[in-house]
Amino acid sequence: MNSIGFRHGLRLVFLFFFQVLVLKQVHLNWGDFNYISIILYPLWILLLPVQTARWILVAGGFLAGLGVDWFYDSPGVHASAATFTGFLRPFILSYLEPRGGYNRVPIPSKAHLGLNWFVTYASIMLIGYLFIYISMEVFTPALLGTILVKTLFSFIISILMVLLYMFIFDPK
Amino acid sequence: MQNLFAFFYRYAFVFLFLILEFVSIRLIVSRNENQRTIFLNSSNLIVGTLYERMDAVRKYFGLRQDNAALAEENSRLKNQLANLMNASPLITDSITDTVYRQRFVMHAAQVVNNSIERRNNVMTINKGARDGIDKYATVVEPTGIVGFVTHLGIRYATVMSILNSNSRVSAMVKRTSTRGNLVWPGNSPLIMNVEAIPKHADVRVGDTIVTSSFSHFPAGHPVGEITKATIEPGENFYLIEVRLFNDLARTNHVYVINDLHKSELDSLNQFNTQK
Repeated sequence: MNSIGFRHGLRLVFLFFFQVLVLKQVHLNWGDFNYISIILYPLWILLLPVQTARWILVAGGFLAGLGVDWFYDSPGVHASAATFTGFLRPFILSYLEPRGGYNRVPIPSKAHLGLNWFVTYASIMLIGYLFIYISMEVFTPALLGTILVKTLFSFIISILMVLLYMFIFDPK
Repeated sequence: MQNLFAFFYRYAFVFLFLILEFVSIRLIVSRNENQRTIFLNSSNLIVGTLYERMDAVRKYFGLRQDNAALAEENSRLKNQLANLMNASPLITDSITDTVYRQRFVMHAAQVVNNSIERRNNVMTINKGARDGIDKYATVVEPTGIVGFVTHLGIRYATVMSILNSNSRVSAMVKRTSTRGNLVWPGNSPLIMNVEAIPKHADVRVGDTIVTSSFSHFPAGHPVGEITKATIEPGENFYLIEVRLFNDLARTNHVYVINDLHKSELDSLNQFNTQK
């Protein structure tokens, strides 16, 4: 049990610093095209054990988001999105529950449930995260078009990063 | 009673979720009101130092452009100096010329952390209170304006970029001195809008926009060029698009400007608003 906790802690530390020190510095803009934020760290919430208590998902999301906000100079923005992601996870997991349930599945990852399942799961969660994050960031419903465009482009790059991470650190 | 406890226990995560979302939104809103959140920003030593280390690596990739820009600025300044040196030596009288008394003090700084893709972009620079930077000092680069200092750490400061929904800079059309407000509509990092220029003013595509004397920036600092100036039917003000001279995605060497007259101007303004 302890080693499992250690692994999740290590993943959090790695994803956190990769997000704030590397991905934050990457500006994917060409002239007037300026719609991409690369977000990878919510993968930590996605990969917590299936049995994780719901309040831990919510509180853990909040704390991780607050930490990222500290580096992004955006108090509350990442925190609200990550809290939402933690809250959303149990509902998505039960919606995507495979035949036979999650009995033999420790964490909802690509290696345990297959690539197709994981892409669906990660896509729903990431779109949820990005939509809340960008809405909170823009903070005016009037700019819904901008919010949707930013969500779409950020999602395409972010899901590629998630899959890259999974193929490197979680091969079959 | 037991059922009630069971109910709360079962749905504790929903309450926790709602409370934490409330806290988050409170943080977002309080920041928009007036930078009251003194924690959670990158001007502190830990975040600032980490960013400076990372930035040392990134800087290598832009050395050539940086050198070219600095050399260009040097040559321009040397030209100005040469003009001053050649002034006629016949006038030898000495007068105390208060017209040219210094108002602005500049400090060179480097951007160690930057963003452009968000609605509210913020930078970190590697100069802080220890280096003599004032709170609410302005930040420019030779080709354009960059932003305002908002949080002052000991060795770092956080700068609200002009690419921020809370940023509002008084700017004017250079040719006619008509004033308006420079704001960022939120998409392209190169395009800003100038608001509140009345429709009777003479504004043409191609005009240069510079900072006005109402702003805290030194008056006349270049900002950008007008690419679109239209009047929507029924509106009393122009819809003006400005293409910035500087690309904030590549901003690296900046000047932080302390305004020596700021406290006097502020106390006058305070006097005005109290009456």
